[in-house]
Amino acid sequence: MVAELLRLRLRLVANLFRGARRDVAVRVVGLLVAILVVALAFAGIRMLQGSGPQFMARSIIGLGAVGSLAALLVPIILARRELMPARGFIGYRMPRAVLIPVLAAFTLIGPAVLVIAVVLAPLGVWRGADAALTLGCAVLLVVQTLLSLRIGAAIGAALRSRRRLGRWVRAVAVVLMVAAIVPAVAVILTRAFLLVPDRIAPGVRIALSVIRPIDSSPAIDAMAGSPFGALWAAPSYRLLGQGDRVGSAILIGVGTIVVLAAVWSLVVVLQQRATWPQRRVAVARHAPGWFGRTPSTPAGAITARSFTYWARDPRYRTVVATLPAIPILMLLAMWVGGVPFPAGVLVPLPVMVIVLAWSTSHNDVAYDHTALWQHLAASTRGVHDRIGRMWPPLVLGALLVLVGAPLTAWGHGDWTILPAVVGVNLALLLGSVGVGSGVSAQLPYAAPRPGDGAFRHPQTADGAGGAAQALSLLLVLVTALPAFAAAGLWLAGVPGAWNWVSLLAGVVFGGRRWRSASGAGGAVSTDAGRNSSPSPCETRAHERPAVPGHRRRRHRCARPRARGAPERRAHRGRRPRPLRPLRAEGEDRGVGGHRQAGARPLRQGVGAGPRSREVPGLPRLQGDLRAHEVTRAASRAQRLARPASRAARAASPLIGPPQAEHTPDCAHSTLSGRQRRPRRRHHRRMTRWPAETFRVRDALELGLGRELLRSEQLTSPFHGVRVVGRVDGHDALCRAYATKMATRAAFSSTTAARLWGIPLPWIGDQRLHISSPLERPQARGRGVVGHRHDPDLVSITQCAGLRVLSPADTWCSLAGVLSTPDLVAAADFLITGLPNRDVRPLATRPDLIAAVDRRRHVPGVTDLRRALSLARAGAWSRPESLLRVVAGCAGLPEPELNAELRGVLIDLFWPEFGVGAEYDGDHHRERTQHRADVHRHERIADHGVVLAHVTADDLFDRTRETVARIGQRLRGRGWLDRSMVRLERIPVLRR
Amino acid sequence: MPVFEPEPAPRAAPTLAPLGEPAGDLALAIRGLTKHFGSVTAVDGVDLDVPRGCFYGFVGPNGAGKTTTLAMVTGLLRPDSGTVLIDGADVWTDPATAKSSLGVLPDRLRLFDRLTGTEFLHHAGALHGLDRATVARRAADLVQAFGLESASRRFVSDFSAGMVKKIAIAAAMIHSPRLLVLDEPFESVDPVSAQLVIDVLKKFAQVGGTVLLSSHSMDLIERVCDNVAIIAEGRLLAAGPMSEVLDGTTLEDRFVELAGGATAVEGMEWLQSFSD
Repeated sequence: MVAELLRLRLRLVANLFRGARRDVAVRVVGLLVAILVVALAFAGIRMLQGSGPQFMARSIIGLGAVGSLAALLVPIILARRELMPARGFIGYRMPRAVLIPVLAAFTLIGPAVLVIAVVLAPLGVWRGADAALTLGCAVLLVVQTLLSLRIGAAIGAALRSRRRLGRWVRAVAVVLMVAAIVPAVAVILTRAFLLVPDRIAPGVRIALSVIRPIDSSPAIDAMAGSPFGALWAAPSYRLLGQGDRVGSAILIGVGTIVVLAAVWSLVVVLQQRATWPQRRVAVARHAPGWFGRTPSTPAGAITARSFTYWARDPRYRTVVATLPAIPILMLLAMWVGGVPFPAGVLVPLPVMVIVLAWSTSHNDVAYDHTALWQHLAASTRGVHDRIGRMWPPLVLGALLVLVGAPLTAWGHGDWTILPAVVGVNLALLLGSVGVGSGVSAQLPYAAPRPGDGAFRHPQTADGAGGAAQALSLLLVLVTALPAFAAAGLWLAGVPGAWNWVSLLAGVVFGGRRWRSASGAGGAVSTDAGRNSSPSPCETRAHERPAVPGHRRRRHRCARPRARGAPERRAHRGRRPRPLRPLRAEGEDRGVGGHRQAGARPLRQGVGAGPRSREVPGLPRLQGDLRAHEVTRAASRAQRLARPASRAARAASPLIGPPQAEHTPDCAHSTLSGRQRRPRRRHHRRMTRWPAETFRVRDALELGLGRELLRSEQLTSPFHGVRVVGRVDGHDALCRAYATKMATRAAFSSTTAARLWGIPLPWIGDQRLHISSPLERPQARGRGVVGHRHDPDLVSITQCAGLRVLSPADTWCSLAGVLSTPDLVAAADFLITGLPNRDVRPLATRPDLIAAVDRRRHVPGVTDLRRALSLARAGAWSRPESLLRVVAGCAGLPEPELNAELRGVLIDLFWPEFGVGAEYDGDHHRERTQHRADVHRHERIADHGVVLAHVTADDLFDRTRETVARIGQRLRGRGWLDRSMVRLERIPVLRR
Repeated sequence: MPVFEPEPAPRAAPTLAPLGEPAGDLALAIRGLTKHFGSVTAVDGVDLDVPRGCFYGFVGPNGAGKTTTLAMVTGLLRPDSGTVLIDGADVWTDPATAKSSLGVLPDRLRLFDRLTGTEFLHHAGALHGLDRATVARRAADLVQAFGLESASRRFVSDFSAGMVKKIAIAAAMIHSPRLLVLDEPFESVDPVSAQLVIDVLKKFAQVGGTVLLSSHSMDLIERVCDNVAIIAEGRLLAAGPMSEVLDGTTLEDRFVELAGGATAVEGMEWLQSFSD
């Protein structure tokens, strides 16, 4: 079994040097660089040998620890897949006790073998220590490195599907890497330059000598004590005569290995878990963002909303963003002005507190503009509103004081001032929030509108805003006055614990102001209905916006706000209702509903999933093995597991994927009867082709000569593929390509559309469209157009035994290829099917919506969204869809599709006008069809319905004329639309 | 040659007789609702009964007082006089009771549009005091019913006008009110979405909910509603079941007849000679 694994491993390593030429070149260069690094390591060690045991030992510790860390972090940063993931061995019945060590050990077979060379490098230096210790450490180091590499690669591969998390983890790994490399290299370099004094410019030497010499560098000590440097340090300690530290270092090293081994075992166990719990989508109890963190009450909702706004709205964010600039600018100004630093440093924090808490909260209600109607509609109590709004400034302000007060005291140089600083600032914070909350409910004034910047204040004619600002700021300062006074006494040196008095005053007065003012604000702005007097300001604030355009003199508080709205500003006249800009219909780009909820996708679930080439005994082998390699390894493994019969052995070399039409053991099958007859009979008798369609490589392996493969019986639709006879039709062409298709590629674009039966316009290009996962090379070659897809966003299903993008993804891949009307027709087909031919819908509208949403930033997604908004279930053919779309574009009313009128179906029917339109395809000329049609049309006419007949030429060549004709019929039957039929909006259709 | 017909003599605008005491089973009863803005009388003594479970349309020309009336009905604008009873509770003396069974879509007021679609629904639900699980379940249902799946994670400020209407209607429905008052719900909503909204509202009315919606689109009101009230210049001109109000004509004709619209475009001859 282990031998089989070994063979598989060797094959995988060999595969590294196969594939696209560019990839191979990159790998070879990488390998050469690695070898060069190893060589340099040896050279470096030799160079170091002359510089004394102390420096040598410590530099080995530094570089070694960095190397060990890199063994873990570099795969996390770079690896996107594992060469031999444990998941691939689920089917092998291999005990984990074997698998875990074997998989880790096999890492050595491959580029990682260089690890041994690296570990060997310092052996020469360690010669002074005893051999057992040196060799033991070297072996342990190899084990540690292998485990680190495997774990790192597993993490890197696992992060591939979790992009956001991956980005963070990789960023942290890079930072850690740099943090380890920089001190180690810098410190070592200082000494390395000193080793070669004369040839290096003396200036560099002087510059570098500024850095602390390596012998006393704490960075190296830290590394030696870390799990990554311990094993490198152990022999060095012996060398330096510090034998007492050897034991602890080895203990750390062995402990590290035990931990790593445990982690690696866990990785294997997790990877071998057959199924993963589905990540739950849209959990019912889940509330988004801040709404999940606050209680589901009115106050909680307003709190969550306030925090959300503080995070998202530029009006709040600007305030927070300007905070750091305040101390810098103020201290700079005071330094220029000659203010002594201990005094000046006390100023910025109170200013910051006021800017943060007062400037945002004293007009907070006005920031919401007319959106506050929701509070009124929900009968929200004012006190809840006050409480909800308080939290963000309180929390942020508290944080600011928490950080700023100690810094201020530190800058001041006397820690005893801390209570006074805290007291003053707390008073300011609580006062600001409390006063702000009351004033903002009582005296809201014109504020920047939602979405505007913090400094875009609307013009105000009166001084309401100024008054509110002055009043509230004064109240805040009054609140903090006692705390200020006590702090002043403390600074002036008056005896007594004035610093603590200041703190007390700040807390007491600030708290009282906060409670009284906010309570007052709450009471005042409590819902109007509680006391039916018209005084509450919130009501006043709402009264105005509810009747836009009208103003009332006594409601000053709300007036300037409303004035900010431009559409209202334009209409200050007497008319109570301002004009509104006209909006085109269909402006809503949103996606329509999904009345197709009952429709089921037809062919999904035929294949087990995205891997059509899987072999039953080996459910999921990731990585990029060729199918036959997997098969071979699997079958051999199975043979080892139980005695093999001859028949089983004979059946083992498979060709191509197991497909519906091709039996798996087709190695010796003869031609099937359906196949086109080859030109020369004797060839047919002589040659037994491995299959109807096969790869040249497989045929050669089976012993067929190259001569034979040039036979006239064969056609070669693609490089390396032979088909017996001619390739018959599009599906056969796809099947032919499938034999050589990369494991994870799939048919896409128009090829996939044809396979699904999606109606398309005439497309001259007969090449096949193949889409490969992003990280794999794009398909190339004769008769093939390569595309790329993100395997995380696209789902692949089987269609007639071929790997094809799912119907919804196929539709998305048509963006940019098809015009919007054709996209609509394709979507209509997917969500309708062909009811008259018993073809069920292939997708539902939500499927399409989801597929489009996954492609948020892909070019063409606008087209898709537009097409989706126009798509409707009910059209039974492409021309019907197109006719409906062009009629809609021109502004005709929306028809009913295939509506039934007393047992007769009409393609497009406007029941309210008694007008219908019928698309007469060419098959309508056929005799029985024609007779049936005449009968139908007469019956329709009996019901007083006017029919417009549309032929292909009408639809594609005379589109406008046709639509105008239908519009005319509608008008004749009472369609009164003030707007004209907008023929110029009709797009050009492709046949 | 076009034949000019003599114009029919303009009829005096009829005014409905005031209604008596409101009966007990009304979703909404309005009595003597009046609002003055300075010297302009926006709403002049409107009486209206809206029975439970009906789909009531409220039509009128621009500036007729539709929005003002609905703002007073929903407690957003204080009337000068008159009462509004929602399920028997007065909106202005017992707002907590009245508003708990009322869902509102005002016209052209802002929304808290820095929230995402789902957050907006959660905000609305929590304001009405619903617990989190209920809000989450209903929000998911509403988002699906209104076809807003793609928009549920975007900010409301990034929505198109029609989607804003839809999310606002969804928010108005989240506390399962008995009466929905929607001011111009179909303005700037595309036909497909409008049908979607209508389907949802019809379902709501079928199970006993009441919908009062205003629009200036007569076709739509005539197609969708079973009751209709016509308002012009602050007075109610007709109200009742659609068939009674229409009396065999279309709503548009009836409306023009009642509201005395379709005034001849006189004195605008310059419009007929194009500048070159």
